[in-house]
Amino acid sequence: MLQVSNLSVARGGKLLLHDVSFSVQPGQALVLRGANGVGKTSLLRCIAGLQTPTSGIILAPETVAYAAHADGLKGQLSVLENLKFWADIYGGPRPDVALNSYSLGNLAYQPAANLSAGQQRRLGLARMLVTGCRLWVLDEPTVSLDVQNVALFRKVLKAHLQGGGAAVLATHIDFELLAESLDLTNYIASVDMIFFHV
Amino acid sequence: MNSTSKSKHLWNLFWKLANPKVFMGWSGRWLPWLSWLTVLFLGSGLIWGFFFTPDDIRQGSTVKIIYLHVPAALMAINGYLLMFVGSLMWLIRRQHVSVLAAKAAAPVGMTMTLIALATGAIWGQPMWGTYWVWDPRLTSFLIMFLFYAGYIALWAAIDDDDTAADLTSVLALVGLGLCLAQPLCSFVLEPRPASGYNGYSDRWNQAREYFECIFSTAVAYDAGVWTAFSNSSTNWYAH
Amino acid sequence: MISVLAVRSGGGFGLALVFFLIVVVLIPLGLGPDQSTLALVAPGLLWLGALLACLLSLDRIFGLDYEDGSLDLLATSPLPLEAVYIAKAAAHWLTTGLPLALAAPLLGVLLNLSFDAGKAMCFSLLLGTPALSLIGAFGATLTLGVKRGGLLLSLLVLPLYVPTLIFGARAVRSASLGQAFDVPLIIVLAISLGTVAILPFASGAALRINLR
Repeated sequence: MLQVSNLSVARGGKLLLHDVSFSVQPGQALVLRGANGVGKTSLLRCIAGLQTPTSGIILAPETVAYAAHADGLKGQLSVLENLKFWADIYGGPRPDVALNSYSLGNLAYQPAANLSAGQQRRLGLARMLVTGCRLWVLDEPTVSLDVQNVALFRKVLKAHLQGGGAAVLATHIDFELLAESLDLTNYIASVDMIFFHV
Repeated sequence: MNSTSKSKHLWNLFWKLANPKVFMGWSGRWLPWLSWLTVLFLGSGLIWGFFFTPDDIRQGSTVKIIYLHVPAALMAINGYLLMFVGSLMWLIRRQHVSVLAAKAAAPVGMTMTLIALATGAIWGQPMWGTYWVWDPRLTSFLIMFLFYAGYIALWAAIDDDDTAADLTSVLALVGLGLCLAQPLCSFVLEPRPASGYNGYSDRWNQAREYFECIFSTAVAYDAGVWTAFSNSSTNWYAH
Repeated sequence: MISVLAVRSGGGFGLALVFFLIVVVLIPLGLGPDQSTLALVAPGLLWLGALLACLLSLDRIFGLDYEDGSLDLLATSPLPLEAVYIAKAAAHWLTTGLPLALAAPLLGVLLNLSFDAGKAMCFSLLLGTPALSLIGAFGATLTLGVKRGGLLLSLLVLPLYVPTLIFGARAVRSASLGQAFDVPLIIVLAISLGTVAILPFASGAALRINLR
């Protein structure tokens, strides 16, 4: 699904990662670990195609679903309209399933501006589902989510992986998702990479 | 050495100069010589133009401002051309020297545009009875001045050098299409008779006039290259 | 999708129109109420007012999306950035250019603009404001990363606006003098078509540069 070979990544002229190689298979999630500023976000932006790597090759699906710190939600539009907008652009599935998976059903007609930080985050993650993309690239997906909702996210991610999808995540906090089976396969350029199999 | 290998040699030299280190060493060596040459040419050109050329039959001594006005106007346009070519080469080949040449060309072009506008106004006052008229030629030079100002301001506003280089290059490319198409369109609507002047009668004097014009143009080029060189040295950023 | 984006730009819709109205109301107060003077300067001033009204909302075209991260998300979507630019410029035109073009002949009445000249005003704005939106959106892509880039944006965009202004106003002036105005109108159309052909690529490139 995703193959990265000999990748070097820089930000602002400073080399962050050097000669990183890994691959992610369908049904697999790769968790990037490392201190702040180590290059997790830059690596994810390279995979999403937002940034050009200094050198190396990335083989990824033509479109990937990317979510960063900023959710890119429009406050004037309702929760449903926000999702519909992205579903239209990606030509993905209808938003009903996404709404229910993150238990946003009763908020569907609320303007996104009225949501709490945690609810907005859930809406941002629900956006992943309406893209119909098989590869998810997530930068700190669980920020401002409580334990309950982290579990919800874990459930959705698991379903995504079981359906043949794959994901690359960056996070520097421990969350329950990783408690099950951790498979530390690689240690490169001070970024821990943890593979998580379903 | 036959002609093809010679031209190939020159071509190689050209791309060798695209290496920033080589270029800086080369331009640094030439800069003192060019500085003296500029003083010499500028001095002799201006003195020659102002004091040793005959008056025009109709315009009198006012015409002598042409030795400042025309070369400045030419340099104003050629500064844009240099900016355009430098930007294009940067976007295609990512060579820092070319984008620095474009960056250094902008203040030169802007100054020359200002000189051309000012001398034109001073010339125009006794000729047309007014310092300024809104005809297409003057207007397009004024717009070019604003465009240079915008290009320089965009360079100054963006912190990251590579981003600034890329964005200003895109602006320079687009500007050529939109800004320079404007005088062209204007002439379609308001054709102006060519405003030549005939101060000279015989062939010899005509030849002399051409030489004087070419000399003063060369002076302006020399001054422009000198300013661009000294600018690119001070604005250099290490990579 | 365009309409969604237009709705999304929210709030800017009436603003340009109100600004245009204010300019038109202030002109006779500044120039004096002499009818023949007003009719003389009306074409140029109406065009100038429309141009400034367009300029008002330019930095909002991409600014909000850049700040809230949705431009990043759009860049990773299957939609090319060139299409995003066209959609944005179209949304800007729908919320400023089109209402201005429709309102201009009505406001022209306040400036003693004749019926024929009002018609020419409407046509020239309909054909010319797409160029204003496209050029303005291009300028907005250039100044995306610049904080408080409003003034810089105006400096970059105004020289590029000049041809459109000259020929748009000329068409109306010719019409108000009872002359043929097809040539300047065609040139205005040519400018709009030229910008639609060239600027998407330049803007797509500028967006990519700013997002990396």
